[in-house]
Amino acid sequence: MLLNQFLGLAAILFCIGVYGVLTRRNGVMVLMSIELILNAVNINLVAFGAYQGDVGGQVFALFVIAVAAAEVGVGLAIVLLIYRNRRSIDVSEADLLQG
Amino acid sequence: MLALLAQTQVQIPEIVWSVLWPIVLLSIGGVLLITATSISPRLRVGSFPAAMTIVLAGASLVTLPLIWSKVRDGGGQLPVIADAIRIDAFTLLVTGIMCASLIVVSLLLDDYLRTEGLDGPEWYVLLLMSATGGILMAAANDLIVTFLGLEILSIAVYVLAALHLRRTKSQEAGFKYFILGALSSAIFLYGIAMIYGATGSLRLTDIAQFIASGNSAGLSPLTESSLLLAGMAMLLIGFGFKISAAPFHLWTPDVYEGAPTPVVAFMASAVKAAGMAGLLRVFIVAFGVVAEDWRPVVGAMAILSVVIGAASALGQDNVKRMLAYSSIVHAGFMLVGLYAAASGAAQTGTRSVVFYLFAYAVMSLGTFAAFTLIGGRGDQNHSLSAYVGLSRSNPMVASLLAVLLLAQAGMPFTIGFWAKARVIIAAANGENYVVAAVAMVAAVVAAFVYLRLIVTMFMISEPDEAGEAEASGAQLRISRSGLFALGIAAAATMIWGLFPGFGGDWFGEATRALLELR
Amino acid sequence: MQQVIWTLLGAHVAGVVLAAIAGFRSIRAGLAVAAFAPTITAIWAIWLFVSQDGLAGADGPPTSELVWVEGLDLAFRMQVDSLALLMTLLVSGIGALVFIYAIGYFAPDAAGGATFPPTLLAFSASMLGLVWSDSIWTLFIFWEATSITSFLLVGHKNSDANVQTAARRALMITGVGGLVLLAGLIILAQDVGSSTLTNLAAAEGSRATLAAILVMIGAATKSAQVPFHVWLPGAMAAPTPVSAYLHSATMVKAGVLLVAVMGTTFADVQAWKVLGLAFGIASMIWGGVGALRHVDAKLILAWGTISQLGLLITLLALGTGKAVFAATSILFAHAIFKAGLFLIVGEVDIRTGTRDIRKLGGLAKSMPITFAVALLSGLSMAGAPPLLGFPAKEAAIEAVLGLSGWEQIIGVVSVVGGAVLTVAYTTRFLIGVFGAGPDTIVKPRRLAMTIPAVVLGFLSVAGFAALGLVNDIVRPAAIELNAKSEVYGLVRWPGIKTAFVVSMAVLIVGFALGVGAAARKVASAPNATGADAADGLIDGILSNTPRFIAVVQHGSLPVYLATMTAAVAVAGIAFTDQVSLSHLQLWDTPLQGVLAAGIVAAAAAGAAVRSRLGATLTLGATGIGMSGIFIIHGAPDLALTQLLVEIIVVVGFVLGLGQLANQFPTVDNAWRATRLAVATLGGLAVMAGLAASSANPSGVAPIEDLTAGAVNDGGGNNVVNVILTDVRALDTLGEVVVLATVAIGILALANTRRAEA
Repeated sequence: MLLNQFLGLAAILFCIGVYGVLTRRNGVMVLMSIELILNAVNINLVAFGAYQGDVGGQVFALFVIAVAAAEVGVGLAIVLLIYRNRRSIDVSEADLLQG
Repeated sequence: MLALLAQTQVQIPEIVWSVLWPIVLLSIGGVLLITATSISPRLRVGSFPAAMTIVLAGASLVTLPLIWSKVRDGGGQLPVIADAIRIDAFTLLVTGIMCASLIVVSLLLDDYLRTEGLDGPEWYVLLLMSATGGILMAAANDLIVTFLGLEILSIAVYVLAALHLRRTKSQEAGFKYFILGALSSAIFLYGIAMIYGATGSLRLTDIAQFIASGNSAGLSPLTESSLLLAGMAMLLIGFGFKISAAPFHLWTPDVYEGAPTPVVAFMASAVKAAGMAGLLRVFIVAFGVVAEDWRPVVGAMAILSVVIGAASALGQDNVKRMLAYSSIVHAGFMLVGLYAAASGAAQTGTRSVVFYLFAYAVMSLGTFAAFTLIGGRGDQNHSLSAYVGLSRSNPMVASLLAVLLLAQAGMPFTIGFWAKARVIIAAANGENYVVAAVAMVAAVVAAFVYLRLIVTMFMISEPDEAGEAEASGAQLRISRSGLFALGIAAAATMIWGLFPGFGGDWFGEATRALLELR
Repeated sequence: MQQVIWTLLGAHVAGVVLAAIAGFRSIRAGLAVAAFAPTITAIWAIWLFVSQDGLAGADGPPTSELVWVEGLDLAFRMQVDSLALLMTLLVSGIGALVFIYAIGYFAPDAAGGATFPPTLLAFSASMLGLVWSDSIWTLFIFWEATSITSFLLVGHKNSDANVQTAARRALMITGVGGLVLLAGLIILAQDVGSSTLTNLAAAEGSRATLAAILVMIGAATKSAQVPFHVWLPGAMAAPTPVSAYLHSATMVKAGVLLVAVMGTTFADVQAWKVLGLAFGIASMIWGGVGALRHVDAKLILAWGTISQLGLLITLLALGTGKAVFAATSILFAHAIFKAGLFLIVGEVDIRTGTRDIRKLGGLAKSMPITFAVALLSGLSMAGAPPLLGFPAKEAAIEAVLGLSGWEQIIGVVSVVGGAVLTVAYTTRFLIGVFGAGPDTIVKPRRLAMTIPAVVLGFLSVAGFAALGLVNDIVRPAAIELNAKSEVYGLVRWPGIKTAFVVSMAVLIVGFALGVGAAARKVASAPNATGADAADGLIDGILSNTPRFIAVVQHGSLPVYLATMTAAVAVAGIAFTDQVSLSHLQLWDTPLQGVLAAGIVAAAAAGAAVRSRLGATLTLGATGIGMSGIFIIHGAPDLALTQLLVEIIVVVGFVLGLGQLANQFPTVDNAWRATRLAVATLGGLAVMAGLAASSANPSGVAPIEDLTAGAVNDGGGNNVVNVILTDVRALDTLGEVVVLATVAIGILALANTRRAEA
């Protein structure tokens, strides 16, 4: 079993996640894309854990899963709040603050 | 079955709870506060949540000397909970900054919420949680703890930034901060995963040992483990975002402008201090051996930060944005100190950053306290024109703010002078003349920005115009608690400016604690 | 002696606070309080000169060091030598007179009482600190402190945009000049290994040249030498007491003082002399010409100051014993007569309401005392006997006549030319202000304004009368700078020598020129092109930064995100050269490949799809694929957790999205391409880094040990669970705190919505 298969998969996921973060104008979709990046992290952690013969990676992956879910919660709450005030969740329209 | 249970022994790591008091007080206290106010809604209104927060933070401050005596008896280092965190002088110093920040921000927030017609213990509970996260970050001897600390610290502040219900700007600030923060957290995590893959450990001291043994075996980590390098770079991005160092600073002006001003005071003091503390802990302790490898990146970030920050601050008319850019310059200065620490001046460099952390927390708390008072109802008076004639309408606020701004400019006899001087001297010790020179030029440009604000406040209109009560110079309603908070910060600025060794050699102890772990 | 230094500085600091408090009542009270500290300092300096042993009694000059922080080379090192004492006398003596004068200058109800007196006193203290400091750090701090207080004093008067521009220009030029100076001093300090000013020695070769150039430029900015002079005329917008004190008598002398002190250090460096002569001669001539062109009496004096400072720099750059002695003498004499003339212009301004020499007339009759004082100070400036300016200028002419070779030619031509111009603009000034013209209405005299001016005018006479005392003050200072000065002294009557003949010729030619210039009526004041250029530069920087920010600080989230990602890409690109594809193997078991392909496909679909439900479901599919990977990897607990959380997240998204409008905005193609490029770059960089490092086959996990440990020590069969609850208890606790924070946060946000509704 080679490590780089997993790392390659993780990198592809990361890549797609970043693409989503950059192209999505919908706040919720940006959130989802960040989720993808976190998934990539988890693959890495588990693969490295197996490679190093250490369970620490798996444990950390568990934390990451939970934190990711938590972030989604907060993110959704903020997005909904903005939507109520603005009727739009287009991230490129969020430019009251600039300069 | 019972017999089996009776036989089975559960081994629990020994935990010295007595040194964890600040963490326990702040986190459990926060949970108790929200519980109490949920049970009895009468407690939601009035100053109860603020008072409670101040009591909790004050109590934590009081425990610090007691903990320090224990730590000193233990030889300066106290590994706690299976060595996941370290209680040492550095941790205690950052804890002190967090608690001081909590107290000042609570004093501001109490009146702010009342003026704005908002209420809720949530503000305070989130502050308490965030401070807990900051302490964890500074204390962490394990990247998981660093990450958890970072998340606790950040998530609470994302929410706080968005929590002003009538300001659309506030929600936009929270949203931007959250999205960018989440991305930076993800990159940070990716970095941790890489470090883990490269070294097989998440514990900072173990990582340091691993790298050192690789070095002694003649393997240069630079060629052998690009994984380690990439990981360090990604960690720097994560930390750089938290301390708003360029080029990860973009959120700073927008969020500072939009977020409620007391929350900005917390961001500038506590969040930045915690981020910098985590950066110091991880990079000095775990990666100190390979300082040669991360040094150029830190140097580049330092130069970018001071240059971009100072240049952008010049054209600003909104004081909150102005100070946001200035906070980027300050972050750059801290990085100059770190750069010096990586260039051979380990002791003076690290010490300069440790002192800068403290100094900037003091100055920014005071400055944003003044902005809160001047911002007035609706948190709106933040344009430069609102400061014309302030010295006449509110001489007290104007004078105290002037002291704090002069300190930020690095004026002698203030704390800011020592912060900058130590960094520059450290850079000179490390023979980083170019970086030092760029930082000084940027400091002069930034000083002009502060002077501009001071002159605006003290500007005198022509006598024959005689417009005694100009609209902007109208008497502000200054809350006593806010003025008190401003006064504390200004006093601290002067005390440590005149006697930089005031209160003992904390900064030296904290530096020693960090450096002996390498 | 050492205590005296700190006591006096302490008195100034205390004075600043007290003056601010007194100033709240009225500006005059504040000024009266502020005058105290300079007065006692001046008395101390005079006492030292008069009492014979004075400085000479001690072993060397008195020094004092206040170590502020142990281990840092930042001590406040002070040294009061003869030159410093001479400057102290000027700074505090003229300072005290200016404070008294200002009491008369300002109306009793003038604004700024709480700010003007303390700031002026703070300047006074900074100037003393500058004069006394013996460490490059201390010098730099006080140097910049004088720039800043000057800025505040110029800019605080009113909210006029022109005044603000002038103040800004002055701060920028002198502030940056201070930095340049510091750079030069640091080079020297490094070579010597000491930051003590008196220990500095010139470095070797090109480093010495560089240091000399930097220090000279720093000095030139402060002393308003061409082409850095543009800030000085603008600074005349300040109240006249400030102009008299800062911009003629003291602050502008700081650069001259520095050139004097560093003269021995750079004696052998050619660049020092050349640059000094270039600055000095250009300023001497251009300043004199400028003084002949302006019609504002104050500006005439300001341009005259530039010219005089040029003369000082020229003499110091020449560096012979006689030249240094002459420079020290003129430094002393100039402070007295120029301050006196400024005070007179201020009085004329207050009493007539104008400073334009075309509108002034007949003041010799209506303001006789003022006229007398102006005549004394003016003639002293022109170098006419029997006034203090005469022997000083004689010394200068003798000094240049005593040179040899090309130095003599340049020196004589420029100094004589400068002297002629000085006589000319002095004549024009006196005729313009006090001579015939339209009768100006004059308000009554204010005693507080008259007395200091009379004192200064009297000093020009008294200095000539008691020339021996002046010699005692000036000579030790000159000897400190150049030991060869010892043989020289100021003389009342030099006898009919070449220098005297030249000097008389200068007076006659200059007078004729001045009368001619006064007769020629100038229609309009000349344009300050240099100042415009400087302002243009500063404005350009200030106005272009917003444009620069607009690019960087776009306000749009995608731009920020792209910037951060680009940074990641840069971090990863460094490793591309280490990629070796030979190790790559796509999968071990086909199932792995299928899962991986599925995850990638789902993720890609999620990033591309328009429908919100579709996007959510693809995210879920990615997560489920992840669970599969975890199972293959032998982490069933993780897989289970992942599955559960994924379901919750998908449900959350669906619920959340349900509240939002049912459409996704589209993105234009160009933008999309840029982002795609950035994302691909970032991803490739990360992948390259990983591939480069991970070309090692993985080991076999020695998990057995851990499992055994978990069963025996932890009392559980599930390794991960044991670790979570036992070994990693704190992390788990931390996780709980994260979740608690999130819960509270969501609660707070939800509450906000309710409150709003």
